[in-house]
Amino acid sequence: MSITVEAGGSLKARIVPHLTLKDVPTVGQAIERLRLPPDVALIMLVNGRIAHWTTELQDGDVLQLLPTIGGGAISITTAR
Amino acid sequence: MSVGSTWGKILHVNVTDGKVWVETPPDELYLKLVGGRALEAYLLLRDTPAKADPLGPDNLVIFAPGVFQGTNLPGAGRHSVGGKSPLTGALGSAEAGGWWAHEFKRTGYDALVVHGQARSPVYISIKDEAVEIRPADHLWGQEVVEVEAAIRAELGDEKIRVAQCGLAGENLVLMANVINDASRAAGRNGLGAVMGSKKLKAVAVRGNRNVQVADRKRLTGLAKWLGDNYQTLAKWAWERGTPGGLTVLNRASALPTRNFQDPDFPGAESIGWETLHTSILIGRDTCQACPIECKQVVSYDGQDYPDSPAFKTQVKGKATLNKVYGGPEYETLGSFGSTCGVDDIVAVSKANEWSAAWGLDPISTGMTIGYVMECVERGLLTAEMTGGFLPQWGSSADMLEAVDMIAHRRGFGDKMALGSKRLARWIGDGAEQYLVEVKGQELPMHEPRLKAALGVGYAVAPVGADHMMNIHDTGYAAPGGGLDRVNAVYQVGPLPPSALSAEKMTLFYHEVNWQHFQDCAISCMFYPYNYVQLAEALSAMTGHEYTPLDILAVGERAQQLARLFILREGFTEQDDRLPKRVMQAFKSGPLAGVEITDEALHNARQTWYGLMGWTPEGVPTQERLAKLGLTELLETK
Repeated sequence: MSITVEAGGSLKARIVPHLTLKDVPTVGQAIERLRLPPDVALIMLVNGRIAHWTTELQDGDVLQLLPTIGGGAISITTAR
Repeated sequence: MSVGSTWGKILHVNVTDGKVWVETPPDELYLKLVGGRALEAYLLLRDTPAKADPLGPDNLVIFAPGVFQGTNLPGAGRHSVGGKSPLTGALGSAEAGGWWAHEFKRTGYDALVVHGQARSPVYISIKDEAVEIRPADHLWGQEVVEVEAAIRAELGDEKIRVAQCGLAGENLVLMANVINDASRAAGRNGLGAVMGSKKLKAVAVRGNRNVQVADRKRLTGLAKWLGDNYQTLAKWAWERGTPGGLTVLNRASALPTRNFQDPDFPGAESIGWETLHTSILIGRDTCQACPIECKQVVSYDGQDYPDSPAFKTQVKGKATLNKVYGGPEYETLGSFGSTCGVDDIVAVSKANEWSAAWGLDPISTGMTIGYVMECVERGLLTAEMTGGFLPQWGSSADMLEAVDMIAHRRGFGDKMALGSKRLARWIGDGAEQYLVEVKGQELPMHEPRLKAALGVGYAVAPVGADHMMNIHDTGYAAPGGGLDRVNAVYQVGPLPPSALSAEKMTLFYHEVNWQHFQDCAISCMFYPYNYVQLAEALSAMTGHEYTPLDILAVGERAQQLARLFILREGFTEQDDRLPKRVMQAFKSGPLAGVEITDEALHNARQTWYGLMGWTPEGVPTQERLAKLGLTELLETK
């Protein structure tokens, strides 16, 4: 199976448009494959609907990743 | 002095009779409460009678930095302002950035408590330990920057820092804020009106005394770590600042639109960071000892900017923007923008400028205007009721006119100045069902249908709906970030933003204690510090050892004291609620079908009450108060 990843906001600079990922059974596994920067908290959408880390993916799904930077979005980052 | 980074002195001033006295609290008070919000709630319980009129002489206005101020720790350029809120009748406790806190702490006092009510306008000048109450008749009615300049001129010192109420506070607008350093605001809860009621125009400070940190070397490591890492760990803040998330939130149906009615704002691009950045943004500003520079600074001379396709303004040529008042942050872009259906970034920035120049809380003001627009659309407000003022969704001119009317209490502005809840009562005819407030305070620009525990936080916060003494569920939806921080005391993995499980509420318990701790110590919440680091910082500053759980207990003390205060003022668990509108699902968009049921909210609230050691009615138990060491403190008069 393969899915398409679309990035929003500041993540556009890190993820190419229409990126295809193969064999990622869940949203979490897709995100781990992308190795995102440490200060990003994410809103995850699958086929335009809100999703979460353990949401299962199907062949042809579109995963949108929207970084929730700023906006008083406290608690988004910490030291590792 | 046996608690480092404090002076052991709280300054009291009664502006009724001019009496000035200095309290020397026991070390225990500093060690347990640390400052800020916990100190405010404690002083309100101790020094005000129950059910005091928030705009009467018995209320207090408290300027409370914390232990961190004056130490040059990055992120400590902040202070808290407290009192009983005239907007809600609950706790008033609001924080502001800037330079005022650092200067105040260096005068030799840990906090300022203002009592009474002056007969004519005054301001308080504090230079080192010298205190003077000076006439302010000539400052009354002036704009914020004029007041600041006049005080500096008459005291002959350009380095004086000024906190003040604007003319909105003078006019007892219940959404008036307290402005410092011209562009920073202790924004919420209407504390500017408390200053106005006391005829206290300003507090001008100048300090030359060095705060004695118990172990400076131990603190230096944290400051260096921050300097080495902020560009990575707080990249969002220094790169774009708070407006950076606006368009993204809109794509998730999480940008409040037309009084939280719609799942999408078509004009989001026109008020987003990209438009701001390519049109009127001229620079960035920062607070004391902060390298991040998250604040926006805008300027506009009335000309068009053709290189930005989303740039448009209905007020072209009529509005100029003054950079001394900074620029719009996310909350303001939402409250004067999408909440009112306005996609004109110049108009929104102008409303932001007026909010600073006149001392208005942009969140409650914008939300009240949005509420009025909805009531007009629904026919609940007629020209006869409003003197002919019938603001329409999306009208920049109407939105700006409403801001002007509110600040000056002109015409129908006299009613709007009371906030949406009082306005709804006046309108009657079912108008209350369209309110979006908790305990009388309007919601900020964050969507509970995306972030469910944030909704619980809105319901239970002692100040009414607030997004800072709260969590944002999206910060715990993937590994890293907030999860790494909370994992220091509670092991949990990624949780769906919509979850209100026991796991989520336990996370909420720890993280909200952490946020309250940061409003006691006081530290900027945009910083990437974690529990271990700020426990280390507090230990280094005070010379007394704190663990991560110890600092979380400080935050919990602030909440327990705040709860005791609002219960005394008549609030009950019935007031820990959410407006129906943000519990009901959108019909379309990414959040279609996502709702918060009464049962889910009730269960989450009860779980959190239990974690706080409260009864099912939301009352703190003596056992928990004793465990936190508050019983003795509360018995001391």
